[in-house]
Amino acid sequence: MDDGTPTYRPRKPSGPPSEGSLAERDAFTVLTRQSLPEVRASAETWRNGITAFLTLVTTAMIIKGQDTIAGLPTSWRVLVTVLIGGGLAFAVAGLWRVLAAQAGNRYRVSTRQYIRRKYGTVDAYQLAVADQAIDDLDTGRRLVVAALVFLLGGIAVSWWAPPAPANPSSYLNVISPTATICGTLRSADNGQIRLNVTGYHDPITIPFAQITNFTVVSTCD
Amino acid sequence: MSRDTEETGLNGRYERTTAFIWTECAFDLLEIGTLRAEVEEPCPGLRWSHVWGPCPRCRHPLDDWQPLSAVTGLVSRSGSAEHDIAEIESIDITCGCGTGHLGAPNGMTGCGVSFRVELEPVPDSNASGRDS
Repeated sequence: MDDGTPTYRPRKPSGPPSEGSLAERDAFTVLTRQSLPEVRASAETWRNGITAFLTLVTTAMIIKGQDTIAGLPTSWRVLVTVLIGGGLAFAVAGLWRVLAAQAGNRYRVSTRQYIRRKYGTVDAYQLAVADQAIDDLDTGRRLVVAALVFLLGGIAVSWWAPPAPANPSSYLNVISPTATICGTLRSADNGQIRLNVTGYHDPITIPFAQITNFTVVSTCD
Repeated sequence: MSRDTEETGLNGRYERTTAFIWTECAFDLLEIGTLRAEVEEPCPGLRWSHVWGPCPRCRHPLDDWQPLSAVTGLVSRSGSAEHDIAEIESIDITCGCGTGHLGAPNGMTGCGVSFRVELEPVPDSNASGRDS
């Protein structure tokens, strides 16, 4: 038996058992025997409820899906990915633990002597299994709560994140006898072209007459 | 009532009784170590009583295990048996010696006596293996 169990010594009872106390003893024995079936039934109910929750949330994510996330700035997209990915990981772990509580796990063959030596009786063994199932169920529920927080957080972030800044689809590379300038087109009128160039506060103006060539490029690098 | 084995009868008649004398007799047997009783905790929070030795009435050997813990859905984890401190355990035992006694109802074994055993924790004690 495990260490830590206090030693007991007999003491003289003040009275005999009554019919009531004997009935109470029998009722408690019945309660003990119902422990494992009750825990497993509870785990089944929790599994169904948790699965319904997660189905609802993940379906919403699938419907909104990539279109919503793709339009986010990179940092927000990373945050949403972490929240949803973490949520799904927690959900899988939580459902796994709840399933273990319902169906049991780590099956192996045990001898009667082992059960007798370790637990004393088969009822005690079943109570120990029920206790393990309770631990699994509690852990599973906590993991699923964390999963729902993450998943709902991911959805909320995807709703409230600012849209990604519109990037110009192309840049203009202007070649003149004096210089080659690359930037985004600001305007082209009054006989001149103005480009926004990285590193310059004001647009750079180039008269049409000086332009020998210009090309549309995808990047100024 | 005498506690004499001859009077109580090794093969005594079945009698459904909770007379205090049998509780006293069980205590005497516990005191001299003929009857043994202990509380076992195979896993933290799971307690069982184990009483073994001769029945105080019919003197047939009995081996009684009783749960002292059960799973309940209405008690919070902080109030569960895992966190209970050791306290006096009162164990009611009905003779389950497995022997048929004269006058017993059909199919029932045991002499019919029910008695009480009380165990109190020894202060500052740690687990010790069963030495029987």
